[in-house]
Amino acid sequence: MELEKILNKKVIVFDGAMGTMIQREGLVGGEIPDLYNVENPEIVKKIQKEYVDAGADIITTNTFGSNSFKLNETPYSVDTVISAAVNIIKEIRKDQLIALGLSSTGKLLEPIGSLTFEDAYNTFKEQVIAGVNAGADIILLETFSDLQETRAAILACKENSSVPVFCTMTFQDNGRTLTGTDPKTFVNVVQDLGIDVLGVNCSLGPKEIAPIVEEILEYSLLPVMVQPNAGLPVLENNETVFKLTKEEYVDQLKPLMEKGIAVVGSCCGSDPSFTKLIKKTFGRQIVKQRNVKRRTVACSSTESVFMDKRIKIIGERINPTGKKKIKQALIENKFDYIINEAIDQINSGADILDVNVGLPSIDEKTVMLNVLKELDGVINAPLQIDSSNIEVLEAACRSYNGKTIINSVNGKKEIMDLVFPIAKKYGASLVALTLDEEGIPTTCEKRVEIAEKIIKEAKKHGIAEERLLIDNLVLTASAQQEGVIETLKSIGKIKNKYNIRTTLGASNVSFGLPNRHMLNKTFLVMALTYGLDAPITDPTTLDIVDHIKSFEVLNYLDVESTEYIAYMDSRQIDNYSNNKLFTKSKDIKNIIVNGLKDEIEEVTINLLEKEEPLFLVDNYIIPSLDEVGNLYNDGKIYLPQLIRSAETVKKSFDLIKIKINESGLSNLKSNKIIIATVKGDIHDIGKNIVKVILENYGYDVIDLGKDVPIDVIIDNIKKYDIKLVGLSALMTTTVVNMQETICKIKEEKLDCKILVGGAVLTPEYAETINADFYCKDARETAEVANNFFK
Amino acid sequence: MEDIRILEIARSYLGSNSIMDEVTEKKINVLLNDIKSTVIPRYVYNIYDISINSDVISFKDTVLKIKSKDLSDLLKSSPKCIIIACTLGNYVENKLRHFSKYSVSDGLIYDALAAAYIEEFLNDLNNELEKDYEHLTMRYSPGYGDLKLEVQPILLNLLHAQKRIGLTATEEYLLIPRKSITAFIGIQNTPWVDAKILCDTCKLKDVCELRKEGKFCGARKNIK
Repeated sequence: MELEKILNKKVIVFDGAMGTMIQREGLVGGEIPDLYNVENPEIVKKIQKEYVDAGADIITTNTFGSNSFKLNETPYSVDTVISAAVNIIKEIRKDQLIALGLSSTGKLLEPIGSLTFEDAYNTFKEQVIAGVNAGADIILLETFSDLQETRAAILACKENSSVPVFCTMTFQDNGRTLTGTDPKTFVNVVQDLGIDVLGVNCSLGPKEIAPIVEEILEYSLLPVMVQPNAGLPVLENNETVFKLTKEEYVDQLKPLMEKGIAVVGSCCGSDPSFTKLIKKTFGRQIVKQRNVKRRTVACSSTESVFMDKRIKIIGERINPTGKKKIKQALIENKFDYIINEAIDQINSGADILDVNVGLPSIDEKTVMLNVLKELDGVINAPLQIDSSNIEVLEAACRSYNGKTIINSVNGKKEIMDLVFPIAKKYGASLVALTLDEEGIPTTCEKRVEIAEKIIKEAKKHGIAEERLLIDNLVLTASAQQEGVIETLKSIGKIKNKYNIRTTLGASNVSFGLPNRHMLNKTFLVMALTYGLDAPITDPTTLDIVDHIKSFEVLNYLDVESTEYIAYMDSRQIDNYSNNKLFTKSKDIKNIIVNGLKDEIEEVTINLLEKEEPLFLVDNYIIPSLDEVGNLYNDGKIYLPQLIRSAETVKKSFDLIKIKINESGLSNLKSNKIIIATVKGDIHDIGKNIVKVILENYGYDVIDLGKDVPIDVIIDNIKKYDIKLVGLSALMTTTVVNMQETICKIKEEKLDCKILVGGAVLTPEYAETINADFYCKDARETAEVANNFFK
Repeated sequence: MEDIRILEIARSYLGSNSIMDEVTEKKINVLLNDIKSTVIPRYVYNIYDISINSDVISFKDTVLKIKSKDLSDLLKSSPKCIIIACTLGNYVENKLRHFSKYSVSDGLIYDALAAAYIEEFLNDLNNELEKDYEHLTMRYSPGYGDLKLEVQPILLNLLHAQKRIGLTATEEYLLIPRKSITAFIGIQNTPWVDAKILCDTCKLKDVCELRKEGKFCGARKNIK
């Protein structure tokens, strides 16, 4: 069968289930069906011959679990099992194509699991090479539930072979995959990665799968494939069975097929009789062509943000330029601050976040990758990767779990030649600056000219114009006042000429003039009126978002002003509840003891105007902490309040530290303590509580995180000349890693004591493993630390 | 699932057996509502004929054989055994990560609520199963007594748990997503009465704070 001739013109039929078929042949629970390729090939051959006879156009290899992780405990290599699988089909096929069937590694990727993107990629690479060498005609990636793992698999296919790639994910009844990806996000992310067909398989029957398929059909520019189960699984006589008959199956599929499915098969619970009826009913029918709207979009793994009629806010705060605290956080690898900035921007209304970690003193690539990984899943908004370093752009685009926007490309040929291939390979959208070798243009016309040049060049690289966000660059009103309107005019002109979206950094224009905020706000609204789609701005700045919401009312985007009204209502409630609490308690001790995090900053600022910072610490903070501690020990307050007090104190301390640094007093030299959850363990709540409490007592806590390899701990002890290390473990199986860590530290003769804690630990066990101190909770840890450093 | 039961279990995890301060209680309610409106517990289970010989439990038509005196004792009168895996999923996992950066105190509360939520969910499920499969023993999970954690990956494999509900185990046999439970439940012909088993076989029995107060941890809650 010649794929290119038929694909998307006439319906192609895949084979059906293999796993459930082998079960009928006596597969025992826990046995790996893939091993039958080597140990019982006649059985596999028999089943696949039946699918050939039933009329399937493509036969899938029996290799659902043939990856290095799952085959690890078997005597067979990946290559052995996969080549055996391909060869079986070779013996019995007529004009059928062989699809190398690959699925998930069975492990969860970082940051939730511990499998790295690279390791996942390498596992898939091994399988791809084995399959293609043995003679597979296409690769089918199926039953994937994690988007990042899917990306790794697709890249492994594209970088190690040139055969067509079909990719289907599996969705649950709530319309998302198990790791939260919805159908349109799946489509948006994978369809620009160079694959040939996409779709959905497994988990659901044809009826339940319909809404998911319909969404895919609406967004996919590629041909669509479905392989549902023969209904939902049911437990009958100790066995999981699927109850649909082949007639019911085909009946339920009919309405979907008519909407434009190009490739169809069947999954769990089906058999060759299903395939026969599918072929009879749908085989070689004309594929209904769909008119799919071309959209500008950016995605995380759980959310797609479309640049449509509504204004989308791109938050600009994660950028070290002019932001001391972010600079500090990047240099010290303390990402918590950056995460908090991200969350604050989202809470203020940002739809997408720009991420820039460009500092000469750091390894930008590593830091960027770490920040992206930390943000993955913690926020749902898509991220825009902002860097002028090609290597950083490439590495970031490769590992970003979604569809990113590259900030930026411009009209210089050299830059376009470097950046467009990256965007093409990883399916990214791009911010395109209208400057070229001659610099930033002064006129509207020149800007439009450069934009056109960029659009044309992008097309040559296979990047359609909907993947570009044109940034017409605004200079400062103080230096080039007559140029401001040229920028605005060009936004309008470009949008008139092309169906293309625009973006713009709205804060530049006011540089050098008083009341910058006023100019920025006004300019923002002017730009929106000229057609700006996605301003790059700071949503946490007072009333920036208010202006945008107002604009959407006046420009008839927020129909009946429903959003505006709700937004203004919620702001009223916030103010009211804040005031209510505030009038009740201005006393700092009260605020700390009650853990009123929202009120501490104002009170601290007020006090700092009257008193010296250290006076504050000694006369207000420490006594309050002592009181909280006593109340807790007496059982009058509980753990949540204790921690909230600690967090409240932290906020106060942050402000006090700034005052101390500003007033040029000798830097509060704080003692450093490392804390970490040991290798293999990912419980971290206890450790995080210890961190907050220790910081209250002025320690500089270096939190290495969880699942920390021993050498990382050793390296950091040496790097920061650490005297005290806190290790945490919460499982009987990981507490041994604690022992190993302590051994290594003593072996290297480091001048450093070790403190241990965690639910499974006892003082006796702590002694057995040679720990220097055992702490039953965070407060004991603080006491031990205080005594130690005296 | 009753809110009251969930809150009771959650508060005990937070170290209290009564209502706490106003701000905490408010937060508990907000977070519980968040969990109720966003979390979908997913589970998968199968029933196996079992036979026990010298503390080794064999599961018919599978490759699974477990050596455990404590589990054998529990299942001694059960011709069949349910193996069940349940998870609150990735959403909760991401929420916990979010809180670990943004607010440790909220994270503590959310963690306790999530743990309580899955316990209650399983307790309810147990009651449902009890209707079809009288009589059930208590739930017994890997890590209890001498039932080693090493059995996790085999159990997950048997149930196709990764594919069906997205539940995996790390190399250290830690379940991921974290808010997950796997368990064995015996099906016997007579009502199950032996309730001594859990505390006696628990590694922490000498240091357990709850036991000192005459209370039990979540694992015992489904005992009538």
